[in-house]
Amino acid sequence: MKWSFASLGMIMIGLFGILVILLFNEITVSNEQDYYTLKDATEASLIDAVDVAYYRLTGGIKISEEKFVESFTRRFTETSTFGQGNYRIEFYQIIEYPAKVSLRIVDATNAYNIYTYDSSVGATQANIVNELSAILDGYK
Amino acid sequence: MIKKAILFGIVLLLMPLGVAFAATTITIPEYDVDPVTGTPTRWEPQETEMIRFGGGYEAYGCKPRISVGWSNTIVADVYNMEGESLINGTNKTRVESFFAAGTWIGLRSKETIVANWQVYTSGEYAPKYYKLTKTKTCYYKKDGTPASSSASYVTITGNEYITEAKCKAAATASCNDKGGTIVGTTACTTYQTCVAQKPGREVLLDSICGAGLMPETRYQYSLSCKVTSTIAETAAKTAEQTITGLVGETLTCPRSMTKNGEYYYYTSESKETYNEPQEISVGETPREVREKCIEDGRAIAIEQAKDRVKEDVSGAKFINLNSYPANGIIKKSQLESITVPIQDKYNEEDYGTSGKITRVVLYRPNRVCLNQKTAAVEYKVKTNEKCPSGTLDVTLGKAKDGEIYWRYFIPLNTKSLQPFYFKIEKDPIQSLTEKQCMSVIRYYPLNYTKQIVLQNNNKFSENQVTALGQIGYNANGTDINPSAPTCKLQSGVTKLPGEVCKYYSSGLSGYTSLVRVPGVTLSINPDKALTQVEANNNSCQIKQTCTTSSPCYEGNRRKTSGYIWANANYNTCKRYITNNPMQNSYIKNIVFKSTSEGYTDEMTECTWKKTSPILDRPACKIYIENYAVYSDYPNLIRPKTKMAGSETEEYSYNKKKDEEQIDKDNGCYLSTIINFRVQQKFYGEVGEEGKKKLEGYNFYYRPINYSEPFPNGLASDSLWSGFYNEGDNTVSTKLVKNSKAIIKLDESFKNITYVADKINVSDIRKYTKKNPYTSWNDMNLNGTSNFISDYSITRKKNNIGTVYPLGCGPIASSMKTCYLDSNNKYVCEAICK
Repeated sequence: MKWSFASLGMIMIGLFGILVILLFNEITVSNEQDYYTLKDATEASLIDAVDVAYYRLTGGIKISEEKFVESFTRRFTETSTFGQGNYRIEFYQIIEYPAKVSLRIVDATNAYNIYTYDSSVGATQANIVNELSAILDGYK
Repeated sequence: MIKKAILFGIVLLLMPLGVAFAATTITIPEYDVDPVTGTPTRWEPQETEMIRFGGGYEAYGCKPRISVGWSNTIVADVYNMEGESLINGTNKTRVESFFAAGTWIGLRSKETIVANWQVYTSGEYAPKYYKLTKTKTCYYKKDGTPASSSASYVTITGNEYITEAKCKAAATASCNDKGGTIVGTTACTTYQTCVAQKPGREVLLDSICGAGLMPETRYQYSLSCKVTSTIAETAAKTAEQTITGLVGETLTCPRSMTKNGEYYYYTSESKETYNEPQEISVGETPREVREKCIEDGRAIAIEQAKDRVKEDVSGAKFINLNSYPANGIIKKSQLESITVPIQDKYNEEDYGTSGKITRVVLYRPNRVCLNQKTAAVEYKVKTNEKCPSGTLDVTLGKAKDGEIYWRYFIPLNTKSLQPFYFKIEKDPIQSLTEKQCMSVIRYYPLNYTKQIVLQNNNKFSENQVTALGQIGYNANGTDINPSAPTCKLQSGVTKLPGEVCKYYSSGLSGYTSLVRVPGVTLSINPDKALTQVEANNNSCQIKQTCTTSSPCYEGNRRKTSGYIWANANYNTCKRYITNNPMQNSYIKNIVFKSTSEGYTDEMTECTWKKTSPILDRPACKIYIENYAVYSDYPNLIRPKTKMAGSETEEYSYNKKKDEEQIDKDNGCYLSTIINFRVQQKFYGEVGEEGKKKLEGYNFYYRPINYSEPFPNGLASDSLWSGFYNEGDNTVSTKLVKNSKAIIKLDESFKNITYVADKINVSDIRKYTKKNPYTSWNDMNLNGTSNFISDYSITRKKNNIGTVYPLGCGPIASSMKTCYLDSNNKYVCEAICK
């Protein structure tokens, strides 16, 4: 009996460990994926948002704020996991001229019930936050 | 190669005026005209038509003297985006060393035609007055066949009693006066009749004269003389006489005249002429006449001046070597048609006795419209065509020097150092007039002349080109071809033994003298030399200018002005007509002789021959380029200066393509080319020099740590330079400043502006399939996006007006576009309102 409980305990600990591993696995994978998606989409969107008419008129590199928001959102949603995940795109300080953006991707992991069945406690879920500030630079 | 490429710069093709910053001005004066003001420094009075004054018994005529000087100035300039002139700029002006592809340059091409006029009111050329007279020419005939039996009666009456002898005498005189004579019976009657008849012909008279009269009886007579016309109306006029009088007189032709003792009969034909034209009849007093004379002279002068300013010689044609015109935005043919004058008006000043009329012609497109979404530039051609919605009207700008330029956009895909030039050339279809052509050569020496291209592509030395200003003119300014005057033995002139050719001034129709030009000699047959010039008895005359220091003598008369034709001896004459340093000499009346073997009396021709290449008028192509190219900064453009010892380079330099482009028909063409140094700043360039391809962009994305965005410092030529303040002792926060706001970078994540958390992924993906990322279709001109509203992206900003409209931004907000208001004044307002 004693060993039976011990064995059960080991199984429970094992299951708990697996859940922890799964949780952290998702966190790390999502974090890396989100970061690169954020970086690449930001770069592409910044280019998309360059106001060429302004350049032709003044020679300055200026972006359109809302074009950047639009383009980034569209590019980010093209990633395959966006629809499966629980993403939230937050745009912060955007300067049109000179071009600078600050934005944040909040990616919530799946919910894992790790130590209780009590639904009132809630499952364990982590928010993976990636934020980025970027500029367009070059030479006059 | 690279160095050469770098040296492209902005090249200026101009006719400088010899001062440092007049490199863009081309002035074509007709006379001695101040090239800056266009004011003649030497007036050439011209005599106008006689104007008649007074309509009464007496009349006067006046010839006002006027002068009309004309000049034409073409000015071109280029401006950078700061409104700084690149051609007239000083060293203090900061001038970019290049133009960025895709951006614009300011261009100005203005032609100013000025006609100065004046009416002389005093002095040598004061209005001259003449008393007008009238002349009546009466025509008479001697014989003929009566065309009709017409007769007239002339009654001679008197209130005294006369004797029969007096009666006869009176009758005879009366008949004679009518062209007849009384022959036969010498009877006389109260009613005497005679017949005008050819003298000698028997005429039957009414023989009642004297019947029943006593010799001493006195009768109160009334004689009637019947004159029967026997003159044919169609008979040839055989005699005439003139009578003169004042213009208001009635002039009556005598009914007969005597010529060589014979009678001639008036034919009823006559013609009245005046000593001067009878056109205007105004003025009663001398003062009124004078005022009217000046007034009319002024009207004539103004009319002439108006006529002169119609002669604009420039045409603007814009050409570049890129594919810009062919890329669908604007076609080359449209480029020519967009050069419509925007200002074409007469500006009459000073209604006194002098003034000027100016016509200014500017060249620019009607509108330049920049599409805010696609950045495409469209040049509107039609007058009054407005820029459509969604475009910015960026047509005109005002430079720092106050001049108005128009914006021309360099193609965005222009590669660095790709030749790109703005060319102003005179309408290649229409040559300059000969006078204009010659004036250009004369007034603009080779210091600023790159090359004069002739029909045969000969290149000329300075002396030769200088001579072009004199060649082909005789004393009257009538153009002649120096190879043309072939003097032939004048009809009626006897050629003496040994004389090869006689060239008399009257021998060549229309030429009073010839200008001897260096490079042109007179030869007798191409392969024979002139061996003798006879210079006796006015056979060779040289035009000698008389001055105070070098007076001329005509007999005992001393002249200190004007000129005389002086006889020249053999040596002098020969020196004048052969190739020697003397220039601009006028000669006439030359008799050539030759004792050389082979010359015979049969040889009657001698010809002016060219001994060196010289211009075949009007085949000159004036091709003047200021091609000073400097790599140093900031003196991008400098007037070309003639460098010592560099004549060969100066005059032989030519760009093959450019030469081809002006290889038009014979004529005189002006061409100005401004080459721009273009650098690609928007797209990236890869590949070797000359084989570059556009790839990527010239700006790059860089993630930053917002609290320390430039840990290694900020390059002075960074796009962020000037906007970023990294803080100092008083400002610890990293700031970004533009004209709209001061933004703290450490607050990068303080305020959320947009959130996308409830979006429909599948809808957005469907949208993206239809609209590429680069599409600006759902962008509004005010800078907002319909996509954000339509796809549940939440704006957290309090004020969405913080975004700039498309095409607008901190710099553009201060840029202006100009237009002409109702008062014909330029009004400038912000492009981005």
